[in-house]
Amino acid sequence: MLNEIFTSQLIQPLFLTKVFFLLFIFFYLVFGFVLLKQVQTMNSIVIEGQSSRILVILAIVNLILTISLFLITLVIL
Amino acid sequence: MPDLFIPKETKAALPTQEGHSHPFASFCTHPENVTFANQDKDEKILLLLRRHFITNFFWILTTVILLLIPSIFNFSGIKAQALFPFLPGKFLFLFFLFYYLLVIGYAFTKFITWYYNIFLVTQKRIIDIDYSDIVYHNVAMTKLSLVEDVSYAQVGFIRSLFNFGDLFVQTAGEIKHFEALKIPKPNNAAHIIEDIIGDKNA
Repeated sequence: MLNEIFTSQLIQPLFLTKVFFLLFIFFYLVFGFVLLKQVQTMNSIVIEGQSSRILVILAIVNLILTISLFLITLVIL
Repeated sequence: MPDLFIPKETKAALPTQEGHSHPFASFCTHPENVTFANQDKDEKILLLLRRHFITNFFWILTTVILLLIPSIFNFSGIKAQALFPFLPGKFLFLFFLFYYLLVIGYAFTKFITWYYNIFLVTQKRIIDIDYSDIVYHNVAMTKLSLVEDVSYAQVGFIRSLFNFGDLFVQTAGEIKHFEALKIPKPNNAAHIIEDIIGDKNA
């Protein structure tokens, strides 16, 4: 049984690298979400026309890119 | 008896014409399309202040260097595969994508930290919006009638060269000090606030 555990996919180096990579991207995803919420909060405090909308769009784009990277990593690796 | 001193007529510090505003503005009189929460209907923003844009130099430089690092490695002939031979090509490709995303996230965070740190002056009050560390923001307001003293400091060669400094507003309210740090033309800003206070008192 121990032999099976050591040869199982769970502790293959590349699999572990993939898991850690996904974990880091997930943490960045949470950060991206927090960033978006903060931009929206600050835009409710002070609004500077087009610039405020552009910042929200950039925060959303950042989040979408992170989600895309997460999914690509999940599928490709 | 002859007059000892006849003051020259000085121009008002605050221009009367409508100003402008753009994303990289640090000193705007009568900024257009700028509003804030709890702004009264008859309340107009007379002055918008942010840190001088030159204070963003270091993080912009850091961002450019970080963006160029992979290209530098590529041009110098050092291949990523040689540095990480145990990783397949697709790992390295995705790693570099994530690296660029981190750099963009860093630059964006730094920009919004500069962008949302604003000092506003209206005809009724002063609003100081502090934003830092992504999740911290503090909004302080005081009426112009409570402002007791306005002063500024400009220390150092770089600050003199680029004409930016610190503005300090002392109030009689609960919050004793309002600060606008590293703002452009602090002497103009102080003069404008003094004029506005002077007009209100008159």
